Amino acid sequence: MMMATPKPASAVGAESHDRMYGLDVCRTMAILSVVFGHMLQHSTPHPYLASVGFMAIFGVDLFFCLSGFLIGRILMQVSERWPQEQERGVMQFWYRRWMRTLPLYFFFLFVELQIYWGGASSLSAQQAYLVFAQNLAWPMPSFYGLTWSLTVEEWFYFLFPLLILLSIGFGKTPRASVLTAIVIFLVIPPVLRFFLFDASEWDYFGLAETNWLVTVYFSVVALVFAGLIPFFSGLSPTRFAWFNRFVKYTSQIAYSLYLGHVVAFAACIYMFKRLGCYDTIYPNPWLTYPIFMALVYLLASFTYFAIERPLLTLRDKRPKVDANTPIKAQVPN
Amino acid sequence: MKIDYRLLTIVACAFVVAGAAIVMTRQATNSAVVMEIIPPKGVAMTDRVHDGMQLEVTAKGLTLTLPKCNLDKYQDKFFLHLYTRSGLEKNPPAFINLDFFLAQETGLAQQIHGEKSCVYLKPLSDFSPQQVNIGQFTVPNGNCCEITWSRTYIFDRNLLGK
Repeated sequence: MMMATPKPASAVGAESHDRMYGLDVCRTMAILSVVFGHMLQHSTPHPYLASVGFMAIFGVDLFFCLSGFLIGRILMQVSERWPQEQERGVMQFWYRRWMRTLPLYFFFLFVELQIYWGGASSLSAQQAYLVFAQNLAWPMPSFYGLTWSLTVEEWFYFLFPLLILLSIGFGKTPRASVLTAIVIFLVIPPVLRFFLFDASEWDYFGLAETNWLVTVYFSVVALVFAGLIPFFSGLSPTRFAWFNRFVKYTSQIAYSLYLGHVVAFAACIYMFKRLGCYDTIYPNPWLTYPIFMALVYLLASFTYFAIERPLLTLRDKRPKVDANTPIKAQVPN
Repeated sequence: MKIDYRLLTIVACAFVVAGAAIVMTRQATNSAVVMEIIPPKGVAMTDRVHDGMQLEVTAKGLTLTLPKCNLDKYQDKFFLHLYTRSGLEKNPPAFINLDFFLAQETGLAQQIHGEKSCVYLKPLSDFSPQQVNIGQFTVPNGNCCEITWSRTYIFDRNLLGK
Protein backbone atom coordinates (compact mmCIF):
# COMPACT_ATOMS: atom_id res chain seq x y z
CA MET A 1 0.00 0.00 0.00
CA MET A 2 2.45 2.42 -0.97
CA MET A 3 2.67 5.37 -3.57
CA ALA A 4 5.32 10.14 -4.34
CA THR A 5 4.30 10.45 -7.20
CA PRO A 6 6.21 10.04 -10.32
CA LYS A 7 5.96 13.30 -12.09
CA PRO A 8 4.81 12.69 -15.58
CA ALA A 9 7.16 14.09 -18.14
CA SER A 10 5.94 17.15 -19.93
CA ALA A 11 4.30 16.44 -23.24
CA VAL A 12 6.35 19.18 -24.74
CA GLY A 13 9.52 18.32 -22.90
CA ALA A 14 9.01 14.68 -23.71
CA GLU A 15 9.19 15.35 -27.39
CA SER A 16 12.02 17.79 -27.16
CA HIS A 17 15.70 17.32 -26.49
CA ASP A 18 15.57 19.30 -23.26
CA ARG A 19 15.12 16.32 -20.97
CA MET A 20 17.79 15.73 -18.38
CA TYR A 21 18.98 12.16 -18.88
CA GLY A 22 20.17 11.76 -15.31
CA LEU A 23 16.79 12.70 -13.91
CA ASP A 24 15.17 10.23 -16.31
CA VAL A 25 17.45 7.56 -14.81
CA CYS A 26 16.40 8.66 -11.33
CA ARG A 27 12.72 8.56 -12.23
CA THR A 28 13.10 5.17 -13.90
CA MET A 29 14.87 3.70 -10.89
CA ALA A 30 12.20 5.09 -8.60
CA ILE A 31 9.22 3.76 -10.56
CA LEU A 32 10.78 0.35 -11.13
CA SER A 33 11.54 0.08 -7.41
CA VAL A 34 7.90 0.72 -6.65
CA VAL A 35 6.53 -1.62 -9.31
CA PHE A 36 8.95 -4.45 -8.48
CA GLY A 37 8.44 -3.96 -4.77
CA HIS A 38 4.71 -4.39 -5.17
CA MET A 39 5.08 -7.21 -7.69
CA LEU A 40 7.17 -9.22 -5.23
CA GLN A 41 4.14 -9.34 -2.96
CA HIS A 42 2.62 -11.67 -5.56
CA SER A 43 3.42 -15.22 -6.60
CA THR A 44 6.21 -17.06 -4.75
CA PRO A 45 9.47 -15.17 -5.27
CA HIS A 46 12.74 -16.58 -3.99
CA PRO A 47 13.18 -15.50 -0.35
CA TYR A 48 16.24 -13.40 -1.24
CA LEU A 49 14.28 -11.64 -3.94
CA ALA A 50 11.28 -11.18 -1.65
CA SER A 51 13.52 -9.62 0.97
CA VAL A 52 14.21 -6.63 -1.31
CA GLY A 53 10.51 -5.86 -1.64
CA PHE A 54 10.97 -3.03 0.80
CA MET A 55 12.66 -1.12 -2.05
CA ALA A 56 9.20 0.08 -3.02
CA ILE A 57 9.17 2.57 -0.19
CA PHE A 58 12.58 3.92 -1.22
CA GLY A 59 11.27 4.41 -4.73
CA VAL A 60 8.58 6.63 -3.29
CA ASP A 61 11.16 8.58 -1.26
CA LEU A 62 13.17 9.13 -4.42
CA PHE A 63 10.08 10.43 -6.18
CA PHE A 64 9.43 12.90 -3.37
CA CYS A 65 12.98 14.27 -3.64
CA LEU A 66 12.83 14.41 -7.42
CA SER A 67 9.57 16.32 -7.23
CA GLY A 68 11.02 18.67 -4.66
CA PHE A 69 14.01 19.34 -6.89
CA LEU A 70 11.99 19.96 -10.06
CA ILE A 71 8.99 21.73 -8.60
CA GLY A 72 11.18 23.67 -6.20
CA ARG A 73 13.12 25.10 -9.12
CA ILE A 74 9.92 26.01 -10.91
CA LEU A 75 8.47 27.62 -7.80
CA MET A 76 11.59 29.68 -7.22
CA GLN A 77 11.40 30.94 -10.81
CA VAL A 78 7.70 31.70 -11.04
CA SER A 79 7.37 33.17 -7.55
CA GLU A 80 9.69 36.01 -8.61
CA ARG A 81 6.68 37.38 -10.51
CA TRP A 82 4.10 36.83 -7.78
CA PRO A 83 4.39 40.28 -6.14
CA GLN A 84 2.93 41.60 -9.41
CA GLU A 85 0.77 38.64 -10.46
CA GLN A 86 -0.40 37.85 -6.91
CA GLU A 87 -3.09 35.15 -6.78
CA ARG A 88 -3.15 34.88 -10.59
CA GLY A 89 0.42 33.60 -10.51
CA VAL A 90 -0.39 30.97 -7.91
CA MET A 91 -3.48 29.87 -9.80
CA GLN A 92 -1.38 29.52 -12.94
CA PHE A 93 1.00 27.29 -10.98
CA TRP A 94 -1.90 25.21 -9.64
CA TYR A 95 -3.47 24.96 -13.07
CA ARG A 96 -0.27 23.45 -14.50
CA ARG A 97 0.16 21.06 -11.56
CA TRP A 98 -3.44 19.95 -11.55
CA MET A 99 -3.65 19.47 -15.31
CA ARG A 100 -0.66 17.19 -14.93
CA THR A 101 -1.72 15.13 -11.95
CA LEU A 102 -5.49 15.19 -11.54
CA PRO A 103 -6.93 13.77 -14.79
CA LEU A 104 -5.04 10.50 -14.56
CA TYR A 105 -5.64 10.30 -10.82
CA PHE A 106 -9.39 10.62 -11.26
CA PHE A 107 -9.33 8.19 -14.16
CA PHE A 108 -7.68 5.50 -12.03
CA LEU A 109 -9.87 6.37 -9.06
CA PHE A 110 -12.85 5.60 -11.26
CA VAL A 111 -11.20 2.42 -12.52
CA GLU A 112 -10.51 1.30 -8.95
CA LEU A 113 -14.11 1.91 -7.94
CA GLN A 114 -15.74 0.31 -10.93
CA ILE A 115 -13.36 -2.41 -12.05
CA TYR A 116 -10.79 -3.35 -9.43
CA TRP A 117 -13.19 -3.10 -6.51
CA GLY A 118 -16.10 -4.02 -8.76
CA GLY A 119 -18.32 -1.35 -7.28
CA ALA A 120 -17.74 -2.74 -3.80
CA SER A 121 -16.92 0.76 -2.66
CA SER A 122 -18.52 3.97 -3.80
CA LEU A 123 -17.40 7.51 -4.37
CA SER A 124 -19.79 8.72 -1.71
CA ALA A 125 -18.04 6.43 0.78
CA GLN A 126 -14.64 7.59 -0.39
CA GLN A 127 -15.18 11.34 -0.67
CA ALA A 128 -11.87 12.07 1.02
CA TYR A 129 -10.16 10.88 -2.15
CA LEU A 130 -11.67 13.82 -4.01
CA VAL A 131 -9.64 16.31 -1.99
CA PHE A 132 -6.66 14.07 -1.20
CA ALA A 133 -7.65 13.79 2.44
CA GLN A 134 -7.40 10.01 2.63
CA ASN A 135 -4.32 9.90 4.87
CA LEU A 136 -3.29 13.33 6.08
CA ALA A 137 -3.13 12.46 9.77
CA TRP A 138 -5.04 9.22 10.01
CA PRO A 139 -4.62 5.64 8.78
CA MET A 140 -4.79 5.12 5.05
CA PRO A 141 -7.85 3.10 4.07
CA SER A 142 -7.30 -0.07 2.08
CA PHE A 143 -9.03 1.38 -0.94
CA TYR A 144 -6.47 2.48 -3.57
CA GLY A 145 -3.67 2.58 -1.03
CA LEU A 146 -1.14 3.78 -3.59
CA THR A 147 -2.56 7.26 -3.40
CA TRP A 148 -1.10 7.98 0.03
CA SER A 149 1.85 9.71 -1.60
CA LEU A 150 -0.37 11.76 -3.90
CA THR A 151 -1.96 13.17 -0.78
CA VAL A 152 1.44 14.38 0.39
CA GLU A 153 2.32 15.87 -2.97
CA GLU A 154 -0.97 17.53 -3.78
CA TRP A 155 -1.16 19.22 -0.40
CA PHE A 156 2.44 20.32 -0.83
CA TYR A 157 1.52 21.85 -4.21
CA PHE A 158 -1.41 23.58 -2.57
CA LEU A 159 0.12 24.81 0.67
CA PHE A 160 3.66 25.69 -0.31
CA PRO A 161 2.71 28.41 -2.85
CA LEU A 162 0.08 29.70 -0.42
CA LEU A 163 2.75 30.13 2.25
CA ILE A 164 4.95 31.97 -0.25
CA LEU A 165 2.02 34.21 -1.14
CA LEU A 166 1.25 34.77 2.54
CA SER A 167 4.81 35.86 3.15
CA ILE A 168 4.72 38.15 0.10
CA GLY A 169 1.52 39.59 1.54
CA PHE A 170 3.50 40.50 4.65
CA GLY A 171 5.90 42.46 2.48
CA LYS A 172 8.75 39.96 2.15
CA THR A 173 10.65 39.49 -1.10
CA PRO A 174 9.86 36.38 -3.16
CA ARG A 175 13.21 34.80 -2.29
CA ALA A 176 12.74 35.40 1.42
CA SER A 177 9.20 34.06 1.10
CA VAL A 178 10.42 30.85 -0.51
CA LEU A 179 12.96 30.43 2.28
CA THR A 180 10.26 31.04 4.89
CA ALA A 181 8.03 28.40 3.31
CA ILE A 182 10.94 25.93 3.18
CA VAL A 183 11.70 26.46 6.87
CA ILE A 184 8.05 26.04 7.81
CA PHE A 185 7.85 22.81 5.80
CA LEU A 186 11.06 21.51 7.34
CA VAL A 187 9.93 22.20 10.90
CA ILE A 188 6.17 21.76 11.12
CA PRO A 189 5.65 18.24 9.65
CA PRO A 190 8.32 16.54 11.84
CA VAL A 191 6.96 18.33 14.90
CA LEU A 192 3.42 17.19 14.11
CA ARG A 193 4.66 13.66 13.43
CA PHE A 194 6.47 13.58 16.73
CA PHE A 195 3.89 15.11 19.04
CA LEU A 196 0.47 14.52 17.56
CA PHE A 197 0.21 11.43 15.44
CA ASP A 198 0.55 7.71 15.88
CA ALA A 199 3.18 6.80 13.31
CA SER A 200 2.92 3.05 13.75
CA GLU A 201 1.01 2.87 10.46
CA TRP A 202 4.25 3.78 8.72
CA ASP A 203 6.48 1.39 10.57
CA TYR A 204 7.99 -0.66 7.77
CA PHE A 205 11.31 -1.20 9.52
CA GLY A 206 10.38 -1.81 13.12
CA LEU A 207 11.01 1.78 14.17
CA ALA A 208 7.66 2.56 15.70
CA GLU A 209 8.73 1.77 19.24
CA THR A 210 9.22 5.50 19.52
CA ASN A 211 7.76 8.26 17.42
CA TRP A 212 11.16 9.87 17.61
CA LEU A 213 12.78 7.18 15.46
CA VAL A 214 10.06 7.34 12.83
CA THR A 215 10.29 11.12 12.76
CA VAL A 216 14.06 11.05 12.26
CA TYR A 217 13.85 8.19 9.77
CA PHE A 218 11.65 10.07 7.33
CA SER A 219 13.75 13.22 7.52
CA VAL A 220 17.09 11.40 7.18
CA VAL A 221 15.96 9.27 4.26
CA ALA A 222 14.67 12.38 2.50
CA LEU A 223 18.00 14.13 3.00
CA VAL A 224 19.96 11.11 1.72
CA PHE A 225 17.88 10.87 -1.44
CA ALA A 226 17.98 14.62 -1.94
CA GLY A 227 21.77 14.33 -1.81
CA LEU A 228 21.63 11.87 -4.70
CA ILE A 229 19.79 14.24 -7.03
CA PRO A 230 22.88 16.29 -7.99
CA PHE A 231 24.65 13.00 -8.79
CA PHE A 232 21.81 11.87 -11.01
CA SER A 233 21.45 15.23 -12.75
CA GLY A 234 25.11 14.98 -13.82
CA LEU A 235 24.68 11.61 -15.56
CA SER A 236 25.14 11.39 -19.33
CA PRO A 237 23.48 8.92 -21.70
CA THR A 238 25.19 5.56 -22.02
CA ARG A 239 26.53 4.21 -25.31
CA PHE A 240 23.67 1.72 -25.40
CA ALA A 241 20.94 3.46 -27.37
CA TRP A 242 18.33 0.84 -26.51
CA PHE A 243 18.97 1.38 -22.80
CA ASN A 244 18.70 5.15 -23.15
CA ARG A 245 15.42 4.74 -25.02
CA PHE A 246 14.09 2.41 -22.32
CA VAL A 247 15.05 4.89 -19.60
CA LYS A 248 13.47 7.81 -21.42
CA TYR A 249 10.26 5.96 -22.19
CA THR A 250 9.88 4.54 -18.69
CA SER A 251 10.48 8.00 -17.28
CA GLN A 252 7.90 9.50 -19.63
CA ILE A 253 5.18 7.10 -18.59
CA ALA A 254 6.26 6.89 -14.93
CA TYR A 255 3.12 8.55 -13.59
CA SER A 256 0.89 6.19 -15.53
CA LEU A 257 3.01 3.26 -14.39
CA TYR A 258 2.66 4.35 -10.83
CA LEU A 259 -1.07 4.83 -10.76
CA GLY A 260 -1.90 1.83 -12.93
CA HIS A 261 0.43 -0.98 -11.97
CA VAL A 262 -1.73 -2.43 -9.22
CA VAL A 263 -4.72 -2.35 -11.54
CA ALA A 264 -2.65 -4.27 -14.10
CA PHE A 265 -1.66 -6.85 -11.46
CA ALA A 266 -5.29 -7.34 -10.51
CA ALA A 267 -6.29 -7.59 -14.17
CA CYS A 268 -3.70 -10.35 -14.67
CA ILE A 269 -4.97 -12.30 -11.68
CA TYR A 270 -8.55 -11.89 -12.86
CA MET A 271 -7.51 -13.06 -16.34
CA PHE A 272 -5.70 -16.11 -14.95
CA LYS A 273 -8.82 -17.08 -13.04
CA ARG A 274 -11.14 -16.54 -15.99
CA LEU A 275 -8.87 -18.64 -18.22
CA GLY A 276 -8.63 -21.37 -15.59
CA CYS A 277 -4.83 -21.20 -15.42
CA TYR A 278 -4.45 -19.39 -12.12
CA ASP A 279 -3.14 -22.41 -10.23
CA THR A 280 -0.63 -23.15 -12.99
CA ILE A 281 0.72 -19.67 -13.65
CA TYR A 282 0.36 -17.57 -10.52
CA PRO A 283 2.57 -19.65 -8.18
CA ASN A 284 5.39 -19.57 -10.77
CA PRO A 285 7.17 -16.18 -10.66
CA TRP A 286 9.03 -16.92 -13.89
CA LEU A 287 5.68 -16.93 -15.68
CA THR A 288 3.77 -14.44 -13.56
CA TYR A 289 6.25 -11.56 -13.43
CA PRO A 290 6.87 -11.20 -17.18
CA ILE A 291 3.10 -11.23 -17.78
CA PHE A 292 2.60 -8.69 -15.00
CA MET A 293 5.28 -6.38 -16.39
CA ALA A 294 3.99 -6.65 -19.95
CA LEU A 295 0.50 -5.67 -18.87
CA VAL A 296 1.81 -2.92 -16.61
CA TYR A 297 3.66 -1.29 -19.50
CA LEU A 298 0.76 -1.87 -21.88
CA LEU A 299 -1.75 -0.21 -19.58
CA ALA A 300 0.60 2.66 -18.72
CA SER A 301 1.34 3.29 -22.40
CA PHE A 302 -2.36 3.38 -23.15
CA THR A 303 -3.19 5.82 -20.37
CA TYR A 304 -0.17 7.98 -21.20
CA PHE A 305 -1.05 8.36 -24.87
CA ALA A 306 -4.83 8.45 -24.40
CA ILE A 307 -5.11 10.70 -21.35
CA GLU A 308 -1.90 12.14 -20.03
CA ARG A 309 -0.19 13.43 -23.14
CA PRO A 310 -3.23 15.03 -24.80
CA LEU A 311 -4.06 16.93 -21.62
CA LEU A 312 -0.48 18.05 -21.15
CA THR A 313 -0.46 19.30 -24.71
CA LEU A 314 -3.70 21.15 -24.05
CA ARG A 315 -2.25 22.62 -20.89
CA ASP A 316 0.88 23.82 -22.62
CA LYS A 317 -1.19 25.58 -25.30
CA ARG A 318 -2.72 27.86 -22.69
CA PRO A 319 -0.93 31.19 -22.61
CA LYS A 320 0.94 31.93 -19.42
CA VAL A 321 0.08 34.88 -17.24
CA ASP A 322 3.10 36.74 -18.48
CA ALA A 323 4.25 35.14 -21.68
CA ASN A 324 7.04 37.63 -22.15
CA THR A 325 8.94 36.51 -19.10
CA PRO A 326 11.48 33.91 -20.14
CA ILE A 327 11.82 30.72 -18.16
CA LYS A 328 15.55 30.15 -17.85
CA ALA A 329 15.72 26.39 -17.62
CA GLN A 330 13.54 24.00 -19.50
CA VAL A 331 12.65 21.57 -16.77
CA PRO A 332 10.35 18.66 -17.43
CA ASN A 333 7.93 19.59 -14.67
CA MET B 1 7.45 46.53 4.97
CA LYS B 2 4.04 47.10 3.44
CA ILE B 3 1.33 44.61 4.32
CA ASP B 4 -0.99 43.63 1.47
CA TYR B 5 -4.30 43.01 3.25
CA ARG B 6 -6.07 41.97 0.08
CA LEU B 7 -3.53 39.23 -0.56
CA LEU B 8 -3.64 38.07 3.06
CA THR B 9 -7.43 37.84 2.89
CA ILE B 10 -7.25 35.73 -0.26
CA VAL B 11 -4.72 33.37 1.32
CA ALA B 12 -6.79 33.12 4.51
CA CYS B 13 -9.88 32.26 2.45
CA ALA B 14 -7.94 29.56 0.60
CA PHE B 15 -6.87 28.00 3.91
CA VAL B 16 -10.44 28.09 5.23
CA VAL B 17 -11.88 26.51 2.08
CA ALA B 18 -9.21 23.78 2.15
CA GLY B 19 -9.83 23.07 5.83
CA ALA B 20 -13.58 22.91 5.30
CA ALA B 21 -13.14 20.51 2.38
CA ILE B 22 -11.06 18.17 4.54
CA VAL B 23 -13.50 18.25 7.44
CA MET B 24 -16.54 17.67 5.23
CA THR B 25 -15.05 14.80 3.26
CA ARG B 26 -13.54 13.18 6.33
CA GLN B 27 -16.94 13.15 8.02
CA ALA B 28 -18.39 11.37 5.02
CA THR B 29 -15.51 8.91 4.86
CA ASN B 30 -15.15 8.04 8.53
CA SER B 31 -17.89 5.44 8.43
CA ALA B 32 -16.25 3.87 5.40
CA VAL B 33 -12.93 3.55 7.20
CA VAL B 34 -14.51 1.40 9.86
CA MET B 35 -16.34 -0.68 7.31
CA GLU B 36 -13.72 -1.98 4.90
CA ILE B 37 -14.92 -4.01 1.98
CA ILE B 38 -13.08 -6.88 0.36
CA PRO B 39 -12.15 -6.24 -3.26
CA PRO B 40 -13.98 -8.99 -5.09
CA LYS B 41 -11.45 -9.52 -7.83
CA GLY B 42 -9.29 -11.96 -5.97
CA VAL B 43 -6.62 -9.85 -4.33
CA ALA B 44 -6.56 -10.26 -0.58
CA MET B 45 -6.93 -7.10 1.41
CA THR B 46 -4.37 -6.23 4.01
CA ASP B 47 -5.03 -3.73 6.70
CA ARG B 48 -2.94 -2.40 9.57
CA VAL B 49 -4.93 -2.16 12.75
CA HIS B 50 -4.31 -1.67 16.41
CA ASP B 51 -0.64 -1.16 17.38
CA GLY B 52 0.68 -2.26 14.00
CA MET B 53 -1.02 -5.64 13.82
CA GLN B 54 -1.70 -6.55 10.21
CA LEU B 55 -4.90 -8.23 9.08
CA GLU B 56 -5.33 -9.99 5.81
CA VAL B 57 -8.84 -11.11 5.03
CA THR B 58 -10.27 -13.24 2.30
CA ALA B 59 -13.42 -15.32 2.20
CA LYS B 60 -11.15 -18.33 2.88
CA GLY B 61 -9.53 -17.08 5.99
CA LEU B 62 -8.18 -14.45 8.26
CA THR B 63 -4.48 -13.92 8.88
CA LEU B 64 -3.24 -11.85 11.78
CA THR B 65 0.40 -10.84 11.65
CA LEU B 66 1.88 -9.69 14.91
CA PRO B 67 5.00 -7.51 14.63
CA LYS B 68 7.91 -8.71 16.79
CA CYS B 69 5.67 -11.52 18.12
CA ASN B 70 5.03 -9.25 21.06
CA LEU B 71 1.87 -10.58 22.66
CA ASP B 72 1.94 -8.05 25.48
CA LYS B 73 0.00 -5.49 23.49
CA TYR B 74 -2.66 -8.01 22.55
CA GLN B 75 -3.74 -9.47 25.86
CA ASP B 76 -7.33 -8.34 25.49
CA LYS B 77 -9.87 -10.78 24.14
CA PHE B 78 -10.54 -10.76 20.40
CA PHE B 79 -14.05 -10.92 19.06
CA LEU B 80 -14.52 -12.64 15.72
CA HIS B 81 -18.11 -12.72 14.51
CA LEU B 82 -19.02 -14.40 11.25
CA TYR B 83 -22.27 -13.60 9.51
CA THR B 84 -23.56 -16.09 6.98
CA ARG B 85 -26.19 -15.20 4.41
CA SER B 86 -28.92 -16.93 6.39
CA GLY B 87 -27.72 -15.34 9.62
CA LEU B 88 -27.93 -11.89 8.08
CA GLU B 89 -31.52 -12.46 7.03
CA LYS B 90 -32.57 -12.88 10.65
CA ASN B 91 -33.65 -9.97 12.79
CA PRO B 92 -31.47 -9.18 14.62
CA PRO B 93 -28.77 -10.76 12.46
CA ALA B 94 -27.31 -13.95 13.94
CA PHE B 95 -23.60 -14.52 13.95
CA ILE B 96 -21.17 -17.34 14.66
CA ASN B 97 -19.07 -16.39 17.64
CA LEU B 98 -15.40 -17.32 17.34
CA ASP B 99 -14.03 -15.10 20.11
CA PHE B 100 -10.50 -16.00 21.20
CA PHE B 101 -7.42 -14.98 23.14
CA LEU B 102 -4.37 -14.64 20.95
CA ALA B 103 -2.13 -16.04 23.69
CA GLN B 104 -4.01 -19.34 23.42
CA GLU B 105 -3.55 -19.58 19.67
CA THR B 106 -0.62 -21.21 17.88
CA GLY B 107 1.34 -18.74 15.86
CA LEU B 108 3.85 -19.31 13.09
CA ALA B 109 7.07 -17.31 13.52
CA GLN B 110 8.53 -15.77 10.38
CA GLN B 111 11.29 -13.35 9.49
CA ILE B 112 10.86 -10.81 6.70
CA HIS B 113 13.32 -8.01 5.96
CA GLY B 114 15.10 -8.98 9.16
CA GLU B 115 11.96 -8.34 11.19
CA LYS B 116 10.48 -11.15 13.23
CA SER B 117 6.72 -11.51 13.26
CA CYS B 118 4.16 -14.15 14.18
CA VAL B 119 1.32 -15.21 11.94
CA TYR B 120 -1.97 -16.55 13.23
CA LEU B 121 -4.38 -18.21 10.85
CA LYS B 122 -8.14 -18.44 11.26
CA PRO B 123 -9.74 -20.52 8.51
CA LEU B 124 -13.17 -19.19 7.60
CA SER B 125 -14.07 -21.14 4.47
CA ASP B 126 -16.08 -23.75 6.38
CA PHE B 127 -18.56 -21.03 7.30
CA SER B 128 -18.87 -19.19 3.94
CA PRO B 129 -19.21 -15.86 5.71
CA GLN B 130 -20.76 -12.86 4.03
CA GLN B 131 -19.50 -10.54 6.70
CA VAL B 132 -16.74 -10.68 9.32
CA ASN B 133 -16.48 -8.46 12.36
CA ILE B 134 -13.20 -8.56 14.23
CA GLY B 135 -11.64 -6.49 16.99
CA GLN B 136 -10.60 -6.49 20.61
CA PHE B 137 -12.54 -5.59 23.69
CA THR B 138 -12.16 -5.22 27.42
CA VAL B 139 -14.67 -5.58 30.23
CA PRO B 140 -13.93 -2.62 32.51
CA ASN B 141 -15.30 -3.15 36.03
CA GLY B 142 -17.37 -6.04 34.76
CA ASN B 143 -19.29 -3.83 32.34
CA CYS B 144 -19.25 -5.39 28.93
CA CYS B 145 -17.82 -4.19 26.66
CA GLU B 146 -15.37 -1.52 25.66
CA ILE B 147 -14.13 -2.07 22.13
CA THR B 148 -10.47 -1.17 21.64
CA TRP B 149 -10.56 -1.43 17.86
CA SER B 150 -12.72 -3.15 15.29
CA ARG B 151 -13.06 -3.81 11.61
CA THR B 152 -16.01 -4.95 9.56
CA TYR B 153 -15.40 -6.78 6.31
CA ILE B 154 -18.21 -7.37 3.86
CA PHE B 155 -17.78 -9.96 1.15
CA ASP B 156 -21.03 -9.46 -0.71
CA ARG B 157 -21.46 -5.95 -2.01
CA ASN B 158 -25.21 -6.51 -2.35
CA LEU B 159 -25.35 -6.35 1.43
CA LEU B 160 -23.94 -2.86 1.49
CA GLY B 161 -27.28 -1.13 1.32
CA LYS B 162 -28.71 -3.15 4.20
